Amino acid sequence: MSALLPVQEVVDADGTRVRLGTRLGQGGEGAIYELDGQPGIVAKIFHRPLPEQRAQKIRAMVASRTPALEKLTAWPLGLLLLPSGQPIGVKMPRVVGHRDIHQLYSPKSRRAAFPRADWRFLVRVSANLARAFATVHAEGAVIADVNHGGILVGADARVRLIDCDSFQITAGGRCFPCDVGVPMFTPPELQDRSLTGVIRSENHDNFGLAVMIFLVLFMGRHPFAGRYLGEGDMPIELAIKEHRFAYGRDHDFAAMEQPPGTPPLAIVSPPVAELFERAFAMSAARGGRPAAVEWIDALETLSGDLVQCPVGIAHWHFAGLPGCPWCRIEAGTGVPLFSMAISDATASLFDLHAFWQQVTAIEHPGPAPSVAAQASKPRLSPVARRLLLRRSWHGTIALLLAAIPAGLSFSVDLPPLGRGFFFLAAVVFYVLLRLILRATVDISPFVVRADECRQLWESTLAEWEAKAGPGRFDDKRRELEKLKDWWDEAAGQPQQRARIEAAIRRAFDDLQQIAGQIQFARMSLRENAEATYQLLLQTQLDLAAVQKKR
Amino acid sequence: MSQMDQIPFGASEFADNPEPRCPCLLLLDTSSSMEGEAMEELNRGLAAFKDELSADALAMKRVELGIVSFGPVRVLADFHTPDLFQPPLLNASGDTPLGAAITGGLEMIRQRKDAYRANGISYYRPWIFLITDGAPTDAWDRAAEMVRQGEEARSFSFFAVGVANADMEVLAQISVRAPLKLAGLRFADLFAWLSSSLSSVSRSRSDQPMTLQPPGWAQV
Repeated sequence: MSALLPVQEVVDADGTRVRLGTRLGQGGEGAIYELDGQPGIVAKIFHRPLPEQRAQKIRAMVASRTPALEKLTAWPLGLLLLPSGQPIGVKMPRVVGHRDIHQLYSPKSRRAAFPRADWRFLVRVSANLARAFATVHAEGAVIADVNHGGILVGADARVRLIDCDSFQITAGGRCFPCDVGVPMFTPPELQDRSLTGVIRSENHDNFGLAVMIFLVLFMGRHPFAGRYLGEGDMPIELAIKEHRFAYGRDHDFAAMEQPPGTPPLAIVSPPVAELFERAFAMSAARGGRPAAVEWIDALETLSGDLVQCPVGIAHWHFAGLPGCPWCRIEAGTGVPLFSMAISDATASLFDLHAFWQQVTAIEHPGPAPSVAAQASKPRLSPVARRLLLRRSWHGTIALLLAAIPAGLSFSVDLPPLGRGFFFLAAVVFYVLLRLILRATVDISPFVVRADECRQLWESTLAEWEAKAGPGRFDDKRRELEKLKDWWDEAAGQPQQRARIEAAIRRAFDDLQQIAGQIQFARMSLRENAEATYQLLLQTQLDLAAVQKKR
Repeated sequence: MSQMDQIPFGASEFADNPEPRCPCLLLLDTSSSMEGEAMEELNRGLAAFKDELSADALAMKRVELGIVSFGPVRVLADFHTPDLFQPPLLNASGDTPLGAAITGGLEMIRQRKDAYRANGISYYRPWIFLITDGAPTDAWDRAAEMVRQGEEARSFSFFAVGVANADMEVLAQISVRAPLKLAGLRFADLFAWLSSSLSSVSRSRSDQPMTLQPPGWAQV
């Protein structure tokens, strides 16, 4: 990215000078700054001055602020200008203590980001999401670019909509459209089309709302991501366009199966299931998707009809089901879908001993599997075999050559002393020849190679033990045990306990991650370690063979 | 889900994190000519790559990295999200069996796609990134043909990056996109670019034609 001039000085719409504070973030379009002396407000400063139409839209948005919108969104508070008068940024309320909604809906990030969220919480967030949409629609605006980065969720399940400057608004009889969208949340009738200048409707928003609620209630699964029974690929965009709702009553017709290890649509109660069917039906493109207010009613009813599973304390589900859907999925996949459930009222009563069951449920990885066990019997390398073959002829060659003087001593007529001399000469000749021939064989490369391989093996084994061994797992377990002791000792000290609880949860997440890393290391390092061991065996065998005295 | 439904192996990974995946396969030349500074820079770049991806919570759930080194061909990492990825320490040795590395890598991608399909996980078009400083020492005709077919069928995007004295003409025959020449040994810049490109692909929006930031690490 080219170096953009840092904007130092900006002014309010009324000309008062505004001081930019710390930079909080950087996006494709611009950067977010704190404002000195205005703690509840941030400024988004764009990389280049805004085109007039965009500035007009923001002015119109500022003029149409209402208390209801302010509560649920980060509605623009005012334009910021360069001293020259060109619009360069926008002031917005600062939203703190909230996280992107995608952190809530996938189980993996939920355990870390929303450790107290059970399914009651998810139903509540869904209802609050519907309330936010209903409010925006009641004010005559359309969210248009519904996506996982534009919705923030607080620890109390309240929802705030951000990136409001992309909303579609109508002011003074003029419509300011939104030119973008994220395909996963775009309704079938708008898939595959340019969105530039397209006037969006509440019915379009209601598709995105239904997808978002589905993601939240169904463990991050997208309603149109399923096992396609036809030929070839079925990307989400195409599945949306072709109305292939994988969980719906027409899923056979759509040639889709819901993915393995997912709950059926029935877990949300019949009235809510019916809303999903209507939102994703083919006919809904012409209008008739459930409006946000309908979702509020149905989800509120559902939230009054939830029961706790007697087995999994973190499991809450619709009372009308024959059994707990979460127990079945957790048993099938081994994935804990929720952290320990702790009701808001008793939040400080962290049930360590129940939580400990989750800790002990993480399987100990066991000792690092031996990478030597699978090794096959080593065979001499071709180089060593050639050397041994060559050396095996040395005796014969020396004997043949020495036979010449020895033969002479018998064939030629000589006095006994002469014969003895020739015979002695033959013996000396033989010994000399053996020595000379031995000198022609250099075994030092085998020594060097064996030494190098031994060093390589030692470092490979050390890495294997460190990454595939249980050492880090054991350390973290010990840390948890120690924290558990501290927790027990800290009875009656709520603040102390809250700190220890946080540390225990962190260590628990670490432990899960370490267990995963160890499994991963065992998979990725094994082949190399085994190959290195095999090489070690071979070089040692080679060395022993060439060093053997004959 | 009924009690009788079979759950395929690997389902837990996708139940834990059902986000759509964006697989990225690195084919890395570890032939002996890479020994020394080039190898050190490559190792440093890989370690930085993980850090860059970690800064983006969504990319951490969507991007999956696989690594194949060649000289000899070896799978250093099967596809995994960056949180489970431990940057390997590469050592230079051997020749440049580029053809075998590509065909092996394409097979890895095919198997990963099967796992996505079996588990109802949506995915973006995989990226394959070939980084080499030499010329292939094995037959690469079949690999080049497979790359061409795969690009045509949009089954993946293949990028080739030449380092130092790489045979750019051969790379141009293998890669449908024009191969890029790394400026100096700027592996760190290359991986920073790759990380931000993967982040933007994994959150693609319509009406923004997929323009990747111009690579600042390539020689012009």
